[in-house]
Amino acid sequence: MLLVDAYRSIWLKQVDERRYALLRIAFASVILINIAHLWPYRITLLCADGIINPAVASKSGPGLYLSIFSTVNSPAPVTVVFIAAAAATLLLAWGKLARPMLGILFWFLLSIMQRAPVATSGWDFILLNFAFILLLSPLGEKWNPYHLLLLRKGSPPDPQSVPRYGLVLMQLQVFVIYWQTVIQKIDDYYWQTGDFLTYFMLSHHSRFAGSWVIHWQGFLDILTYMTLMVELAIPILLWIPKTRRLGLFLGVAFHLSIAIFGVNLSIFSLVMIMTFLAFLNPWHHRPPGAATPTRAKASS
Amino acid sequence: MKTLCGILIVAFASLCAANILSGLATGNPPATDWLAALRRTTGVEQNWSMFHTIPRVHRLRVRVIAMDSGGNEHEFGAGLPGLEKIHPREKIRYYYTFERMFTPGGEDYRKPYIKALGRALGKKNPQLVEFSVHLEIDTTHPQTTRQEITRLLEHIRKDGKLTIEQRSVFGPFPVKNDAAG
Repeated sequence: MLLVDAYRSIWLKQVDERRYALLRIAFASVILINIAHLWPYRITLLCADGIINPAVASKSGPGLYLSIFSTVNSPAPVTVVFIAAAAATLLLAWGKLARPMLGILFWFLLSIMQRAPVATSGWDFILLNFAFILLLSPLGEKWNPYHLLLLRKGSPPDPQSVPRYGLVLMQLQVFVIYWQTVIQKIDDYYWQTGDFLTYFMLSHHSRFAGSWVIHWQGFLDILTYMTLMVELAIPILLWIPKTRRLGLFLGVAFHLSIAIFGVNLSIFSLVMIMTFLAFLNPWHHRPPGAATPTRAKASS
Repeated sequence: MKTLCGILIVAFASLCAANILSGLATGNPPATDWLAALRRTTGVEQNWSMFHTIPRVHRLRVRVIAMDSGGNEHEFGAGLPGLEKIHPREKIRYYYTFERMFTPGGEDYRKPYIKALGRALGKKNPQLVEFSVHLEIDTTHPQTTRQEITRLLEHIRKDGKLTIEQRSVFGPFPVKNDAAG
């Protein structure tokens, strides 16, 4: 019985709903940035007479083909879908019709990945994955960015308690993202020899590619091994409350470095930093249901 | 009602957690067809292979060269529908697209793309008769090089040349001219 209760508690322990609200707002913001990133590709990759044949795309994977772009496939309607998706991110961030908006965004992300599977990147999968978990989690809809960041004077809503299963699933997902990638990397010759970062810095992904890289190979070898250690450590450090700040610092510094030294990897970095919010609890010192300072002041 | 809700949450979360944690199992074992379809459609597939090996490409260029009936060459961009120039370094998704279409396994996408190129060229200039797609890759480490015996970085250090140019030409293919049927 004790084990059953402990297992139930993993998923059903009550947490402050603002933790979900923070994730929801950050997720909506990252999706909006991703929509801006996808905007220049919308005609060439998603329209019927673009680069990717729709019939081939529809048969590319084992899943059900649900892409909206199978029927919406000419430039003007595709543009309208993009604008609608951007509007959905704003409403999601504001907590207005949050779950339907999340459903729309999940469909939008899935539609793009199914319609242009050869153009997908790693962060598309992470966003879709988090959209699915969020879709079935509490969203803290009452909290908009103004309330959450205490930017507006007046009475914010009372924070409620909600089960933490969504946050736990997202934390597990972050563990698996980092650890699976490390498992795959340690099996690779170039990660084993430490050559990876030298090749990376010589590749088209590098912002500063040039012959200088070769002269720094020894240092880059060390950084290659450190990358593996950092990727293993980030989720553990984030998970343990005492090391959470260190984990956050290490994770943000790691992904900022990727964004600075890499080209076109900024969105990936943003997406990963957004996932860290599943571990953070800025309201841990104030139990849910307790009056916030603003409310307490207002009522006195 | 509250108890039922709790049971549903625990059941859903347990299933999701099992799926997520299966991502750490050796080889990430393949699921049954219906489970693979469900995982793909809901986006909960667990394949996180970002940069699991070295990126080999330093620069990728894609050009479309067409020949008219007089034997003159015309160069076009590889973008569709308008044959616009594409920049794979600045626009990373074009890099993914062309790299995946023009490597083994990408034939299913490549063939209809080339047909569509033929139609777009015919629309653009009815005088064109044939075309080819030129893929120019500057690579630090050609795919065909065996990893164990060639420490390419040492070669680069010795001769100062960062990349090897690999050119692949796909074609010639006929231009589809609507007027000619």
